[in-house]
Amino acid sequence: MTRASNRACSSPRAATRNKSGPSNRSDRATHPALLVIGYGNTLRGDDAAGPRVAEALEALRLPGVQVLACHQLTPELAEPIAQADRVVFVDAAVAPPRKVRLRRLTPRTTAQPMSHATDPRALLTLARELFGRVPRAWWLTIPAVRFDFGESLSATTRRGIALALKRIQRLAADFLPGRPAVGNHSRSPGQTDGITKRRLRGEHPQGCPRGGL
Amino acid sequence: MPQRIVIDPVTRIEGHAKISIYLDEEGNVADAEFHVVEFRGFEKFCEGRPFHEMPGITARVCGICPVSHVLASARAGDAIMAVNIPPAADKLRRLMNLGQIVQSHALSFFHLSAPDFLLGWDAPPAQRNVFGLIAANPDLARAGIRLRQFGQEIIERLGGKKIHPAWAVPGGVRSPLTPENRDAIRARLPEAFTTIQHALELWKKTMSRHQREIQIFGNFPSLFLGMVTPDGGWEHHGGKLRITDSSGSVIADQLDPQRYYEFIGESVQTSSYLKSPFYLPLGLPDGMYRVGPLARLNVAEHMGVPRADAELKQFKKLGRGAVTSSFLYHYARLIEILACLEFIEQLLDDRDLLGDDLRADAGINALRGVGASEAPRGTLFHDYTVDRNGILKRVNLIIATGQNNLAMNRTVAQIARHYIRNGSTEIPEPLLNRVEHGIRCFDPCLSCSTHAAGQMPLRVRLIGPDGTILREVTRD
Repeated sequence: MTRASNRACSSPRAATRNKSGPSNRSDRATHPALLVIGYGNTLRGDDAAGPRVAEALEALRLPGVQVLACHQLTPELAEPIAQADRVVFVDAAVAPPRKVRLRRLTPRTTAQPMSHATDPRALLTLARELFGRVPRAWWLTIPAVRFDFGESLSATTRRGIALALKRIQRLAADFLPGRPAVGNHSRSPGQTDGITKRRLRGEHPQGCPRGGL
Repeated sequence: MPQRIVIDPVTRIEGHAKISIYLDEEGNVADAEFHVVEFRGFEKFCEGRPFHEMPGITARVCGICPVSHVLASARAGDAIMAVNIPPAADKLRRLMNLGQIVQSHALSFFHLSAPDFLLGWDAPPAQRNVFGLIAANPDLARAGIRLRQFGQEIIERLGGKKIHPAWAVPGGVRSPLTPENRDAIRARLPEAFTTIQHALELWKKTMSRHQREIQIFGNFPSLFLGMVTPDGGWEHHGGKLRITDSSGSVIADQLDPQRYYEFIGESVQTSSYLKSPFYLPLGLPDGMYRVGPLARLNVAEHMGVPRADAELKQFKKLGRGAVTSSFLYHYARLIEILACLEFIEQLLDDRDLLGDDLRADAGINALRGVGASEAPRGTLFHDYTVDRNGILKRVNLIIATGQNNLAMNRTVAQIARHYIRNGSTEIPEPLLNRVEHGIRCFDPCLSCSTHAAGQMPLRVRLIGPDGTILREVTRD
């Protein structure tokens, strides 16, 4: 059963935190409790899953959460990763199983001889080797089935994005002291929070691209 | 408790860099091809869109050089509107392109290529990468990352922190540079200069150890194409085109990029989705040309800034006429980074840079518009044909990596000939390492040229004269 809540954005306490001034905002940006990096190509169908999650999450403005949306992972991300307490990489996945998966990641050196892009484990290693710190990290993968040119997503990936958002919200709630667990707000199976519903209907907050979730 | 997980190496869209090496009857290398197997369909995808959306759309072709597409696309839009953009907008576009060249070249040199020639060609692949470089020279690796960050920061301070900065638009740019952002860019320049100076010194120290690679890594006569200023200097945006041959002679000069189709032909290979452009008057194979840093330095008589000019003089001594070894793309990249930093320094002192007259406005005044810009990997063309309402009827993109396609094939063949002789059907490890690097000299952006994304494993096939696959090796 999937649980979700819209509490993260709408709670008065969260709003107060957000209003607590530039220093709070700055701390959040430079030393976030949770850094979420969504990556993929937004013109290649379901490959956009990661950036779409990042954009939706950014609109929620969760306190303590910094969000980055990238086309692909590149070495300079090592620095913000090293500054975060925890990091979640969000990506589309073609490999089975066809479900949203959240897995722990540990640093590992990987060599991709012909690619400009790197992978999450390599970035963790870069963060450790170059900036002396590696946060706890997870890899959140969303099933993807269609990679044609275009901005529309398959139903599988749309569902996956909604689930992924909930997983991240739960993680964020768990990591921020004093915040009630998001999962305490029970919902019936399939029920989504308001924001997710709006997104599934194609209504987007300001800043989201055309043809969003 | 640590959990062991297995991550499928191809979790995203897969593309393979596949190489075929063909043997003749005597068992010597006859030819080689660098195939790109990912489908290419971006041009079709764009048809039916309004032309003014194109900078934002084409920026999403590539995660490494979105700025190049934005700028070429905006210039194509300028041509459709038939406008001259305000001076501030032109200078801001130039500033962004300089930042783009810095960040892209930094990634290519420090992270992708330096491990090979600093750690040794035959070091195990597991060590011959950026992590090996960190172990051997952490300061260099860190400085390389910070140099790339500096280029990225320029882009972000101009275009915002969106993934793809559709900030340049037909007619100009969307927003000005603030004095605060100008000062922040200026504050990081000294560190960037120090980094590139160290990298140049390191390169010169190590170059003598790589004479064999200089000889066999794509060292052959070809044409070179790049932008120049009216007096033949190095140019990266808004210039005319010059073509030189391997003797250094200028064979065509001050060509208008708007009329590229009069001097560039496009051939298609069945084995690859990369188009293979060539110089039309000479046809194929004589019309093969190279673009990018090596070509730009070959066609330029001067850099236009003093420190890079001094380096250019040293660079030109490495060739008789033109510098023909593709291995020296690396050196050319470093010189271009230095030039970019000097031009950035100059631009930051330019009063026009903070101007707020940023856009020229007009309707559809031409039904075809071409925009060209020097991307880090070479000259990039966007060619749009629109109807009276500005809806795209035809799109043609000529990407730098595609223009180097024939030269990459020849580079692979040259390296293979050195290692495969007299009927050997082995693909020796030294060959694999060097073929990998031979292609890397060109810093091909395969996501860009084929519009795919994802990892790019290397697959090398040795093929006999009857088409039989004699050996196949894959390196993920």
